[in-house]
Amino acid sequence: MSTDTDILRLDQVGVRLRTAGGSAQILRDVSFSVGRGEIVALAGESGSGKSTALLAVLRLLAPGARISGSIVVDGQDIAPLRGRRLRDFRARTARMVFQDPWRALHPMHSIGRQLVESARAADPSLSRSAARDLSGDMLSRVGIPDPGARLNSHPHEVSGGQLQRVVIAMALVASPSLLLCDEPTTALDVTTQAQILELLQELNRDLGISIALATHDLDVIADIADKLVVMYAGAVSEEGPTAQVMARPEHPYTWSLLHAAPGQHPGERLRAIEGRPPSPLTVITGCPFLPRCEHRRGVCETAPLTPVPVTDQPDRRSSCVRVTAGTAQPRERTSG
Amino acid sequence: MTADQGAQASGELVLRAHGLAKHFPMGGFGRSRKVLRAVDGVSLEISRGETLGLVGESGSGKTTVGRTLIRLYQPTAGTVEFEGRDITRSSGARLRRDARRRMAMVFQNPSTSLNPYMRLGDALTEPLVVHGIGDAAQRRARVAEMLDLVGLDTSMAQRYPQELSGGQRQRIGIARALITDPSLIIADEPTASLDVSVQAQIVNLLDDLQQEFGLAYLFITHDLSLVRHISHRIAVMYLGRLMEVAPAHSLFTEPLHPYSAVLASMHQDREHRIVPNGEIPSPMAPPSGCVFRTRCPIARERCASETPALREAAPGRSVACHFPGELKLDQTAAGARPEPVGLSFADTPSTNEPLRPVSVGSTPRASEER
Repeated sequence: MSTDTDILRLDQVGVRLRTAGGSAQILRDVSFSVGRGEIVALAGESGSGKSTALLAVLRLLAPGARISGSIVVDGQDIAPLRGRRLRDFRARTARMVFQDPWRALHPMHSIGRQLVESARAADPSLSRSAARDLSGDMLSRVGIPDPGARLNSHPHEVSGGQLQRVVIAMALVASPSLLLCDEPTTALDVTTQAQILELLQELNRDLGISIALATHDLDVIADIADKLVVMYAGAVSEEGPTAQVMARPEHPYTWSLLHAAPGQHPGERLRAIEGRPPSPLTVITGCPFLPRCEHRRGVCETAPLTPVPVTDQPDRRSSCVRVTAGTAQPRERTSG
Repeated sequence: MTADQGAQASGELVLRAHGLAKHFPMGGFGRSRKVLRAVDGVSLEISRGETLGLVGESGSGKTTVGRTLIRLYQPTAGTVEFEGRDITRSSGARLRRDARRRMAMVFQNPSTSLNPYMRLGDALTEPLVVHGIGDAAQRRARVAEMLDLVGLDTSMAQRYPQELSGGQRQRIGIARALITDPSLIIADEPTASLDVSVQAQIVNLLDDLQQEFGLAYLFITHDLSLVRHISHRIAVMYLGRLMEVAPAHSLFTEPLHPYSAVLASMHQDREHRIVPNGEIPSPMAPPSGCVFRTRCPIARERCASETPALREAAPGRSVACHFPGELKLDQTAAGARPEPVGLSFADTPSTNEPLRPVSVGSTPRASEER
């Protein structure tokens, strides 16, 4: 499942957070990997843990968050990183693109100054003028017209779509091996969304940069992600090549999510998923999707959380015991 | 609800706006006075039982249209007729009686549109008090009736907004809109802050309520899949102007305006998408002539010099373009993504083995009925 060709590997990662309401389990035994040159999408609704998984990679979680399991980036276990080494890791190896470009940039500093700072954080030997040249090149690379003039602009002078390009350029000046994108197009209009996704795919193809991308919109990533990791209530529901997962889901949650979105049958009733995801404060035994699942059985109440390979489909894993039991043995009804 | 039904909507007009404009002063004096033309010359009609979708990018003026129709804003020009009465200049008691009681708004963010210090029962009673409807006992009964209608337990009246989930709060928002028995609901991105699975619950609820009460909806959204699903007709806005008004199905299969074609192509696979040039210009400095021309793939000289008027192109369809229908969708392209096949075990009927009941956050009534 994971090999040396992986740029990012999460193994049984759990994140626990102390809150006023008690101990919250934000991630539960999350494992997945991003291969070199791959685009992997983490899909799920709010509270599914997709953003937390990305933040955990950069060790950007709230103070007091306890991470278990292992996270390996480019062959390096990030758990022991502290101080200067952690800063270097964040500056060079893995870079983040956040949802809201207006909040990702300093409103009072020029775009050029922020790009130069980013470039020199990654490579302190770079002179100011060399960093500025690199920034200009990178702005033109991400499709900003007249990059020289843009370096002197401030964020408020630039539109949302352009600003998200600037944020991407700010990550790229560090030539990171991994780009983490948290809902990179959610704050943008639909026509701009298409442009930004196209850009990400181009950068992946031309520069070979690996991308892990969190999103709530399956349609958005359907075209660009090689692999899809579907998350629910802090755990991985299923995983596999995007086209296969979208065409033939192997978890009832994925199936329901695809059918709940409008667009399948205009004019017909939407297939809503009743209820809502469990609170991270609740202790979950068995399958977290069980209370909302149309296909639940007694066996689901004690089902393990970890996805296991689906028989005859080596690239795919599912945590649904009914799927995995159904394919592992001759198909028969499980009784509770 | 289908597009065909919409075409046959009773035809009883609930709302008609003609040449509606809303300009905002943006500072400056004399010659340097700046004006933001948020809405410019918009004409719309909505019939009983009909959903008119209003789509556009941010800055297109769609929210301003909604707020001007319900007279939260005073229109700069044009007229608004509601249930046969001209309410363009009404104010005070007359506005409350003629318009506010029979028109209601559902806002995007139910968390900020509910007073955190008010019990939900009180928040729901407020419109009845404002309009002087019923006595205390009747109001309590009406609140209970509304909570039941939107699929919430009547004990919710004693709770505060923060005790509810986003989906439940939006149900309260809908209950509050419906409590004065309106004929028109203006819903401004009512599901934008909700997850897909919860969005589907709210959309189905709105559908049910429309069927039950013959409500007219103005559904404002930027979500194309959603607007296609929920609308009978769709009005497309760009930089404060209407580009096209068409039945939902036609707009996505045979768009007449290039901007509609761009939007409709977003449903197709990537190679067939028509991605427009650049981004939406500032509404403070809209282009001359056709406002879409700077991004339009088929723009030519005439588009810069002459503003195209919204004209009827076919029965029930109007478009504001000098070259309507010229930019076509690639009909060979695949439409929306194919429907996923069933789960590998779904050949097993799921009713065989009833599981013991489990408690779920909320049990919407909508889906139990059908």
